Amino acid sequence: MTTVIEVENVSKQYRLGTLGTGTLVHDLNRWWQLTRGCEDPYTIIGQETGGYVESARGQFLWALKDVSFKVQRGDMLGIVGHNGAGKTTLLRIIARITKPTFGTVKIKGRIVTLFETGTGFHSDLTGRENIYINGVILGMSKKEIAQKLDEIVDFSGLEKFIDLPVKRYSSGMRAKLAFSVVAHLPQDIFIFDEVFGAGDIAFKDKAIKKIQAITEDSSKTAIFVSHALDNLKKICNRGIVLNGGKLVFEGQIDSAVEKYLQIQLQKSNFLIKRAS
Amino acid sequence: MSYELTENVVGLGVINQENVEDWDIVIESKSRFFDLGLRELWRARDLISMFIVRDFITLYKQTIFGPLWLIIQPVLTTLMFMFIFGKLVGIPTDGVPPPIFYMSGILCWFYFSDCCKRVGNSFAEHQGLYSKVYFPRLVIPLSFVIFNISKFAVQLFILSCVYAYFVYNGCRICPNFYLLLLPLLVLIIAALGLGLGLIISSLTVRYRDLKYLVDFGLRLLMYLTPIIYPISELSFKYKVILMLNPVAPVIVTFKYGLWGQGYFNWLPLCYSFVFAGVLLYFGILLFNRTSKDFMDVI
Ligand SMILES: Nc1ncnc2c1ncn2[C@@H]1O[C@H](COP(=O)(O)OP(=O)(O)O)[C@@H](O)[C@H]1O
Ligand SMILES: [Mg+2]
Repeated sequence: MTTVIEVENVSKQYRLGTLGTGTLVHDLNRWWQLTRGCEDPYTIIGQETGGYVESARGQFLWALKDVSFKVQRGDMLGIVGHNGAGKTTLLRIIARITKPTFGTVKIKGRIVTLFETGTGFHSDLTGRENIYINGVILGMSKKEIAQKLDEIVDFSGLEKFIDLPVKRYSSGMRAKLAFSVVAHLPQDIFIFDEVFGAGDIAFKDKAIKKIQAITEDSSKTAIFVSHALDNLKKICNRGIVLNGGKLVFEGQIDSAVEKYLQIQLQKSNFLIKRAS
Repeated sequence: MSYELTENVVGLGVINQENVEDWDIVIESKSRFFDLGLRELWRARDLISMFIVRDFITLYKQTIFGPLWLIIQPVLTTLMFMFIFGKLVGIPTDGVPPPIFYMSGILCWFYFSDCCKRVGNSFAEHQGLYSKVYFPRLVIPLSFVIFNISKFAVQLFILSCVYAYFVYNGCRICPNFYLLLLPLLVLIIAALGLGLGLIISSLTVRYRDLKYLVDFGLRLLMYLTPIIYPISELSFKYKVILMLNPVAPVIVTFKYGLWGQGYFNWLPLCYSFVFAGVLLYFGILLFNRTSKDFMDVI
C-alpha cells in the first residue's frame, strides 16, 4: 500500500477579534494611542471583562489541533464532526487554500477539492466557457476538456442553459456544474466538502453513483465530508472523527459514524441536563 | 513512477520506504520566503493563456463601449490635455504636433496605471476563485499585464494613424533608431506596473483604505512624469529629480524615439530597468507571502 496523503501534526490557528482593524488610519491611531500609554481605542467593550483576551493583538482560535492521519491509495475516507469541528479548515489546508500554523501535509498525485461553495465560476461567462476555464485551472489540458465537454454538459443536465452566463444560474445549478466538471477530471485524489448539500435529489443520486464509479478504480482515492451519514457509510471504507479541532477517532467508517453519534448524543444530553 | 521505484528498492531491502518516497506536494507551515515560485508559474503557462483569453472574452462581452473605450479614453484625454495645458496654460510641446505629444505619454502612462490598479486589486477581485481552488496565485496578475499589452498595442496603432496623418500633411517629424527600444520600454513599464501592483495588492488586503491613497498617489505621480510638458526645457537639477521617477525615463525615451528630438540618456533608462527588476522581485515575494493566508483575514 502506498500513502498518498500524509497529514502530520497539523494545527491551524485563526485570529479573531481585533487583528488589525482593517484600515491604516485606525491602526496608526491605535499605535499612537498605545505608545502614549493610552488605552486601545478599538477594543470592543466587554471583551476585557470577559477575561479571554489572550494577547494585545486579539483572541486566537485553534480550528485544528495536532491532527495526524494517513490516507492510502484506494481509500475512501469519510470525515465527520460537528459544525465548526474544523473539517473545512483541514480540507482547505490540504487544498493549499491556506497554510497550516504548524505541521506538514504531503501529497502524492494530482489532487482536486470541491468545496461546498463551488469551484469559482466567472459570473459573466457562460457555463461552457466556465467549464473550460475551470478545467484548465484544475489541471486538464484544453484538448482533454474538449473531449469531455459533451459528457460534462450531459451529466450536469444543463444542456439548455450551457450558453447562458453563469450569473443567471441558481445556486443549485452552479453546484451541479461544478460537480460535473470535478467528477470528470483525471485526478488521482478527489476531495468533496459537503457537496451533497446542494442540488436536487435526482442529481444527488446521480452524483453518488458517479463517485462510486470513480472510486471503483482502486488507483483513485477520495475524501468526503458530509453530514449525510448513510451516504458516507455507503461510499467510504474508512473514517475519522473531528471534535473541536482534534482528531478523536480513526478507523472503519461504521465505527467512526458510531463514535460521532455517540459524541453528539453526549453533547445533547449535557445540554438537556443543563437546561433542566 | 515513484511507486515502482519504491517497490523495487524496498524489495531489495536496501533503504526503508520513508526515504525513497518522493512527494508531489509538500505543504509546510513555514514558507521559503525567497522562493519566487517561477518554476511553478512556468508550468502553469496554459493557465496564463487561459486567463488572457478570459479577459478578452469579458472585454467583448461588455456593451459596445467595452472595446470602444480603448480608443475613446486616450483620445478624450488627449483632447482635454490639448485644451487645458496647450491652449489655456500654454505649455510648449517641443515643436511636435500636440496630439502626438500628449497621446504618446498618455498611452504609456495608462498602461502603467491600469496594470497597477488592476493588479493591485487582484485579491479583492479574485477572492472567489482564490478561496476555492489552488493554482499559482501569480497567474492572475501576470496574465492581466500581458493581456493589457494587447490593449496598449491597439492604442499604439491609433497613435501611429495620427502620426501618419500629420506626416502626410507635411509635418516634419521623423522617428529615429531609438524607437527600436520600444519592446524594452514596454517590458520596463510592465515590470513596474506589475511590481507596484503586487505590492499594492498585498497592502490593500490588510488596509482597505489604502486604496484611496493609491488612486491619489498615482495621479500625483502622473504629474511627476513628463507627459504634459517637455523635459528638454528643464534645468539639469530638475531633470535629475524628475528622472528619479522610474516611469519618467521610459516615457522620455519613447518620445525621443518617436520624433527624434528632445532628451535621451542611457543612465536614467538603466536606472529605470534596475528599479523595475528590484520592484518586481520584492513585489512577487510579498505577493506570494500574502497569498498563503490572506483567506484567513479577508
Ligand atoms: N477565516 C476564519 N477566521 C476565523 N475563524 C475561522 C475562519 N474560518 C473558520 N473559522 C473557525 O474555525 C472553526 C472551524 O471551522 P470549519 O473548518 O469551517 O468547520 P466545519 O467545516 O467542520 O464546520 C470554526 O469555529 C470557525 O468559526
Ligand atoms: Mg465546513
